[in-house]
Amino acid sequence: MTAAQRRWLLLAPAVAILACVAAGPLLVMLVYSFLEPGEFGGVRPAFSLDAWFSVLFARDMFDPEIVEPNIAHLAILWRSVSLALQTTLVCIVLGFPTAWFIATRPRGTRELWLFLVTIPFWTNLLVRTFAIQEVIRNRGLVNTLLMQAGVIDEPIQMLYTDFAVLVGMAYVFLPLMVLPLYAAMERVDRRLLEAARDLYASRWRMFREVVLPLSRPGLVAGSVLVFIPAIGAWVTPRLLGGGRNLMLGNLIELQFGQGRNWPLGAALSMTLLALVLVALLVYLRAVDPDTRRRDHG
Amino acid sequence: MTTDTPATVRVAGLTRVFGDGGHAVRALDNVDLQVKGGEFFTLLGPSGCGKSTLLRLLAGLERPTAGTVHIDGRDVTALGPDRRPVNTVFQQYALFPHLSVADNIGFGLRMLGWSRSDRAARVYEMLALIQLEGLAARRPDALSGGQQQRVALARALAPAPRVLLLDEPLSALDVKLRREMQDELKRLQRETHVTCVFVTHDQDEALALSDRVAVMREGRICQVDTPAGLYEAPADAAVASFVGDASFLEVELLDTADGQATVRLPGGSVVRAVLAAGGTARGGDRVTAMVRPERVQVGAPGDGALEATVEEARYEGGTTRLRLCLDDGTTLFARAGAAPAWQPGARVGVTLPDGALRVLPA
Ligand SMILES: Nc1ncnc2c1ncn2[C@@H]1O[C@H](COP(=O)(O)OP(=O)(O)OP(=O)(O)O)[C@@H](O)[C@H]1O
Ligand SMILES: [Mg+2]
Repeated sequence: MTAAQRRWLLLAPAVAILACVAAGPLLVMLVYSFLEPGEFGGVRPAFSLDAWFSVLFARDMFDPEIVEPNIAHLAILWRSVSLALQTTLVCIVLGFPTAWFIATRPRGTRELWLFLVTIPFWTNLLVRTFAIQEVIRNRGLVNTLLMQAGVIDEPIQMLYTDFAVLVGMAYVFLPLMVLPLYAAMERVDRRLLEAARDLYASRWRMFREVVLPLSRPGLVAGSVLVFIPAIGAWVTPRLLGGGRNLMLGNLIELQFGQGRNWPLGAALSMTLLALVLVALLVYLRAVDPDTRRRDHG
Repeated sequence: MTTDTPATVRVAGLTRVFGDGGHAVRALDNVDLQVKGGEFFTLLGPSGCGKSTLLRLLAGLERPTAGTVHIDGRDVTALGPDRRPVNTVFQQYALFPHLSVADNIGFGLRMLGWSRSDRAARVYEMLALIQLEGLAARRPDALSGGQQQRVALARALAPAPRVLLLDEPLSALDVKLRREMQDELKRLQRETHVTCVFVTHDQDEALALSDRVAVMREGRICQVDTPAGLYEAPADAAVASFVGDASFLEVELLDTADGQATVRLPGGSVVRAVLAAGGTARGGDRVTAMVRPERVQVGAPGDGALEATVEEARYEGGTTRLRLCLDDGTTLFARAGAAPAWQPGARVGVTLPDGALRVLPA
């Protein structure tokens, strides 16, 4: 047996598990998306492109010959991508100072700050989301405090708005941005920072000219880690957005539940997967040393 | 570029304490120092004596606990590193890995707001100075150690600082490259006339490069002098043993008169010695005297005032370094011409000519 063969043999269990757990369900989804819906959920074993067709298109209710874009689905797709991008942006804006703050604490106290950042991860997503509801609802913490302080007379409607969804999403995903950013910043050689300061850079220029470019891998990794779950999120948008504006995740969930259209759900899931793959491709291009070299040179 | 102001760097009462309470470390303790314009000034001392701390205080990378730093007569004690006309060459070079050689060299100029064309011209001038014109577009990780060193020098020199600070810049290089870079450094300093404050714990390097050297120990400055001055006239035993080889003998002081002393050697013979300043010893006291190895004359047994046994002989190309043991047990180093092949165990006669011995303050 050659070394290569032995290596494959050793890898076999891992490959088998990956095949069953990751590739298997995906394959099932792919197959389902090309079948017809069953009457009470599930699928009928008959080939059909209807599901894929209705991801983006709809037939006129009275004349099936007229095909038009599925405005509802497109709106949901756009809303999901836009929310995921906004969430990523908010996480970057909040995550950068947070990660930098932690990375510049004395050694030994950084672990504590990291722990504090990850605390939200230790609680259930639903509990966290309900907690946010408590904070921002009309008689919640923020409004009560503001009214008692006399800043406002009427409570501000925050819950069940896009703002609430964004706050909730950013809160949930912020650690996924902070951790890789911190890891990248912590690796930046302190002497480079001193060299920059010595060469007449203010603190801000030091950050922009040295810390920012050198922590780019962390920024990109964090963005991908936030963007991918954010684009499929459905619990937070439903609880904080009031369920009025569906997200891609809600739409998929609907097809497998009340909608009883598993093939459409499967096709939508595959669409989501495609979006995630696009995000990953962008990521790989961004961290590829060759591309990095090109855009700096 | 440089005018001959009396003191380009003036440090007074500079103190830096790290930590507090029982764990406080006095890295620098009440240091006074003046560096003249255009001078190559070296801080020499063993590891942990506070050399880097002093340099970082000059650069503004560290804040003093007490004391002041003046550069060109201006008090810069409260200014950050970006507002002091000094630049540093760091021990591990600290080149920006994401920037090309040219962008590294131009970094300081860009921060100072130089225009793109002025910057390009200055960077080219610097590349020519360090003879690396062909490598402008390279990344630092694609350079050899010596090349990185040159780029670090060029980067620090590009903004034409009033003072160039160098913290053991050559310690990462191998011996041969190190020699080359020492010459290179001296050439750069001659051509740019920049005032240099150089940190090293290598006494050979300090003696070879410097106009003046400050010997440091435990956060204090023991002596500031020219290399020859340090070697010939060390202020105390610590300086004498740190700079060059030195042997120490217990002698009896017979008489002192304006810088001269008459002493009785362990064997009984009487010689004239130089009296170091600051001593309080009087006639009749037992004192410590120092002698440099090349001043010790070694001959056949019975030839000199002292008798000794060769303990170790190391041929060093042209000369032989001898470790001798006097009959009273004192160790004495000597450097002899290679001619007689003394072997360990051989008996020799030792002469200490008038003026070879230097009586040190107790
Ligand atoms: N940031 C710091 N915190 C605490 N102690 C420090 C710090 N920096 C330096 N010291 C202490 O101050 C003393 C002087 O340090 P410094 O780095 O100036 O020595 P050095 O002469 O440069 O030594 P070396 O030749 O090893 O570089 C040392 O005892 C060191 O442990
Ligand atoms: Mg040091």
